[in-house]
Amino acid sequence: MFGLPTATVVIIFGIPAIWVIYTLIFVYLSRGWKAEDVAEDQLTPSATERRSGTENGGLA
Amino acid sequence: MNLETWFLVIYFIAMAGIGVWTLKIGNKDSEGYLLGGRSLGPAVTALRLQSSSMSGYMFLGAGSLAYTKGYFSLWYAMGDIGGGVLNLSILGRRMRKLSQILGSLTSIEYLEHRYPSKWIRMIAAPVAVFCIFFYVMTQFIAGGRGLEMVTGIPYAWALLVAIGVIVFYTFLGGYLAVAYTDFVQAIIMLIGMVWILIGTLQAVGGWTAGNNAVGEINPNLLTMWGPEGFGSVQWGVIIGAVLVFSIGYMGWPHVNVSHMAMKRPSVARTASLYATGFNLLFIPAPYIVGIMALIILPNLDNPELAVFQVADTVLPNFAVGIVMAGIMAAIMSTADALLLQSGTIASQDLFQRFIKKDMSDRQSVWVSRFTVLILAIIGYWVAVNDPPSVAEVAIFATTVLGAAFVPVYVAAAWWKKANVPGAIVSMILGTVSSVSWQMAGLVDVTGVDPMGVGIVCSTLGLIVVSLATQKSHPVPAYVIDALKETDKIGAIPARMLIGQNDALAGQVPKDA
Repeated sequence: MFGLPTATVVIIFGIPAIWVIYTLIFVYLSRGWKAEDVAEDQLTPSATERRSGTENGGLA
Repeated sequence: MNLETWFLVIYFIAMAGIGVWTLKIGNKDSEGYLLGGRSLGPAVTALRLQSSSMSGYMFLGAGSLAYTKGYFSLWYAMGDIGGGVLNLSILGRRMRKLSQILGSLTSIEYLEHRYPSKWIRMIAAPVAVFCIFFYVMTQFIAGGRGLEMVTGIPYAWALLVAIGVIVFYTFLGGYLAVAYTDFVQAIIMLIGMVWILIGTLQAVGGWTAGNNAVGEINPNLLTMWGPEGFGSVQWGVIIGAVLVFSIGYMGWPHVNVSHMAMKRPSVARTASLYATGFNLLFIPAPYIVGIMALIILPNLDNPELAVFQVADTVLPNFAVGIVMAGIMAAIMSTADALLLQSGTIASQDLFQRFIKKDMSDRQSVWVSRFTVLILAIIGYWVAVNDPPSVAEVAIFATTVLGAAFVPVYVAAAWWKKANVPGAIVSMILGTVSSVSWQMAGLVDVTGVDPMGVGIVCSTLGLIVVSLATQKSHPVPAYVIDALKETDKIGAIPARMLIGQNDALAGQVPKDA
């Protein structure tokens, strides 16, 4: 495939695929981390206002 | 002035503009200058982390490796693609939270707070500055070479211009300037690199046709085993190549500081998606361009210029300017992060810690800026008189940083028994073993990479010495408490944040 030996194709596509799977598993397993943000906001009502004024680059 | 130069001039002005802008919006205290007020969201965190890790190595070193070793060079890319997510998933949330509880402003200070002993900082700071200086010098050289090629001005002047722009905006806005410029630069370098890749593949008639042509030069170049074939493969070197840019990132103080500057600990989660996405698109490209350069430019005198020369050959003039801006972006985004980190270590970790403890925030910022200037001058002097190989020095500095610091950073966040003697032995063993292995030429003799040796030595040192000295040097109770708090998912209790500097104290919940 692509004029490359099979072993090369398996390695250069296989290892990145493992990293993608690792990333997705990490995102899934860490879904509870949002609770930390909620808990923090509840403790410090003014913190949200303070952050909204100073946050930099929160594009997501 | 040609079209390419105009693009670069516009780019330089834009970067300097960001520096001036962040000077206006940024906080003026130490936390504002050093950590951007701990205010960065996932996109900036991830792209800043990636662009400051990628460096001019990707355009000079990666192209050179690929040109000389073919697909074997992609072993470095295989580790590199996962470096961001590995760092964010293992250290991200915990380091952000722990550094806030302990009141740490720099990544070296964080180590001393976690392993409370002045010796931690006395060992870590010089090792970090030493490696960072060599790494930043390679970025200067890469920047000078790129600018020389695009503008045609002599190398010495090109180097001076490149360093001048980098120092200017690092000088102005501190971490926020660096983070924002790194973010913009990450996008520019991605566009630039993908553009070169597309132009290259079009020039060789597609990826398959290009591979077939490379196979006619030497079929082994298409394998992952090197130009000499499977018989000569050195598994130790391959393992080291994968490790150096995957777990190696976790030992870089200038990269780890990204975790401490996150707006919230949970930013690491979303940032990992950005990091992996960016890496998948960006990292393989310079290696493939370097391999295809064998067909486009078969008689290249200096393989380090493979990506530059290919871009110059296959792209139209206007595109070369944009792509060169992307290349300069990669170089400058790493250089500014490194320079800022060096300045931070000098001001916070050495000067304020050991010389003038009552230094004001303003004085601290100026010591940092002065250090940046001094390093830039020394870097210029060395780079203009006797420039070393970019790839060799970049990989070596990365190896030493990784071997010295990966175990102590990982254990700091995860292992409650990791103590001061263990950390000291780990850092010393990691540094000495990796440097000695390289200097003694044992890589060729044994086929084992210094990264692998260094990591094994520093990890074993940390585990064995920490366990052996638990009774004589127990981990302080407040550090154990901080680690237990870091284990939990939830807001940091107010009592754990009392006694920190003013900026951090301002974040203490009022009613907790």
